[in-house]
Amino acid sequence: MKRFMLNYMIFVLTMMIFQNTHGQDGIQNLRNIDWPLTNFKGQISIEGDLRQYIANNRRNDQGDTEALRDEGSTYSATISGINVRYGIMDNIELMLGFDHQNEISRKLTMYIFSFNQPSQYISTLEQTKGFGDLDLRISYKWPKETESYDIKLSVGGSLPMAKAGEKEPLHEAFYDSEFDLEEINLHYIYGSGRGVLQLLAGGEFKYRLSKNAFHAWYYSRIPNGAATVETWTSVKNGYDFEHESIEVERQFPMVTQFGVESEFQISPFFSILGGYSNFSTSGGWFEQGDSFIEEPSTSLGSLNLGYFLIVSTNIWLRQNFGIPIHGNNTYSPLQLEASFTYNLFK
Amino acid sequence: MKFRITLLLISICGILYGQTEEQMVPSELKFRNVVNEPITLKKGFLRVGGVLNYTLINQIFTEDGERKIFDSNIWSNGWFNNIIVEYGVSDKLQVDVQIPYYNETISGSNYAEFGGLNLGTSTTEISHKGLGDISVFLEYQIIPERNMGDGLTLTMITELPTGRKDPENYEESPDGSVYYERPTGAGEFTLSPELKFRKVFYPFSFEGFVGIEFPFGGEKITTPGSSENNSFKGSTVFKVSSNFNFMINDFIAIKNGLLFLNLNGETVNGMPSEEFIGGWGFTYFPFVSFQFRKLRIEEAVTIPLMGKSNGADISFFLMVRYLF
Repeated sequence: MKRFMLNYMIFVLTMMIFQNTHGQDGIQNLRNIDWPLTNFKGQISIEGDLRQYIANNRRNDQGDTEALRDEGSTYSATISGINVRYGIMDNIELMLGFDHQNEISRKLTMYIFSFNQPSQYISTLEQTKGFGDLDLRISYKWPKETESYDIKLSVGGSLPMAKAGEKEPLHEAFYDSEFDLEEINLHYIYGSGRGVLQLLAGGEFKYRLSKNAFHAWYYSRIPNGAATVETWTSVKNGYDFEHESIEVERQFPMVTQFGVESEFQISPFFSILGGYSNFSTSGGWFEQGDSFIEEPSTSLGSLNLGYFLIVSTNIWLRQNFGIPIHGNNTYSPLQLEASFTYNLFK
Repeated sequence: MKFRITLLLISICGILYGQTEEQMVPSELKFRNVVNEPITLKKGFLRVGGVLNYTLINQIFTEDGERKIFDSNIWSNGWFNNIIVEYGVSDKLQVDVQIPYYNETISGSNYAEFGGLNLGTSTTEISHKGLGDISVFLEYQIIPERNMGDGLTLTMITELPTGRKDPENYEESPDGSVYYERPTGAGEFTLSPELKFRKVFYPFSFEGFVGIEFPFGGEKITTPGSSENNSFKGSTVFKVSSNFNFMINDFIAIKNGLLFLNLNGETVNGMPSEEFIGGWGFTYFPFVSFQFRKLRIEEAVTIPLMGKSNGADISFFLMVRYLF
């Protein structure tokens, strides 16, 4: 705790010092919509973001909404990430980033009553937790001088640094004397990695009017083949579990994100944003022995509303609120997103 | 010569300090933000607003202080709202009224099987909707405000049992499904004296408070579905908090707070309650405050760091207040 507070104070002080010593060279008059899609040469930006997803519903394969409450499941996820962007040239930028994920989903709990054995209460929790793979991306902006429009093309890779597949389960069992039954908590835990190199490719387009800007983007994340990952089988022995790992072939799905956004400049440092974004996955499967299981494709489209505030040239704050409007085979969460950017500009 | 140099240094200091803090006309006092606003509202000032709060039900700190994810599929869907009215009775005395309203449904479901035979799925649905316990705050400057914001105040908070105290409309279906309406109030008066200190080092400020909440007890139905009234007394709560705040510019301020709470546990019929034997929590809360002239929009997240028999979930707050 002491260390956390000390680090936090150092961070705040460093931030204040940088704020007073950087970013005074002429670019401070740029309005929100005028900022180019890539950093200028030598500029470094550090962006931290926090995303919270809370779902009460899911979309089935027909696209209909189903209440999670009816099927006895729950879903929430907290994802935080850091991206560092560096301007190699005025129109070429390098980005390095990673996420940390904590996704929690619960399944229907079960009471199993029987004649000869103690009754059982079984709950199931699935958790995806940990740091994700390391993203490395290079972007090119055209035209070099920012005009009424910017086109940005990006290509890169996601390096398989993080644990992919299932980790050793954290199941537990004990006797509950109050209710005279055996309580079994099944806790499955998965890594956030993908186990193989992934190709990152996409682009953005921004068109500016006097007080508005329109922004569109498309990005894909394509795994380079299947990964060999672990999955676990567990055998209950009394109140203990014995776990054994098995290797399976897993093709993680291709992920595609696209969206459009309109930005309205309310004051020189404050703009509001509204738009549509879509997140979809396809092509995933896994193979274990003779069984080959294809993962269904998923998609989720959301309407977004937010703001972008330039606190100073160095400090930018964005917040976004997303409401799902359509989708297939996926949870349908409300999305709260906040990002804080610190620019170490010369 | 020495005198002249001293005079020059004093003048420079005066200029430097003069640049950091402006003299304000009374109307501009309404534009001040959380760092440099008066420690209590000025006489005749009225501020009205609302708080929207969302909390997940995902994790708890156990009796052993371990952060644990709930195993069962319990889920909360809803919000907690609070209407706030603040009024400056005099330059030293402020009165606040907080009116909470709950709009939440807590649910869970279980599948049952007997000897391989499917007995169906039962649900538990707990409605938590309605007016909560209204709080009245009296805040008085016992060391009057100096230097634009420094001061010490004594706050007396009275919580009135205006919320529904008993679980109501309990229904149990043949399949084992349960529905009831959870209390929205504690069912007892509480009184909480709090001492709050603030020191402003423009553009920073530091705040600290210490307080204790005394419950007066009462009678209520403690078990859903039962009609038996039990005498009870809530937890005595000890609170210590400190905030470090700073202004990023004239209209944005960031607060960083740490809050420690200790609850000694509830009693039912004079015996320690099985439901809650006491616990503690230590929470960090970052807070962004936007001041657009008289309008203040604030966002906060509370992040439980440590605790015992206490909630461990992140909570989100959005506050909007307007100073008339």
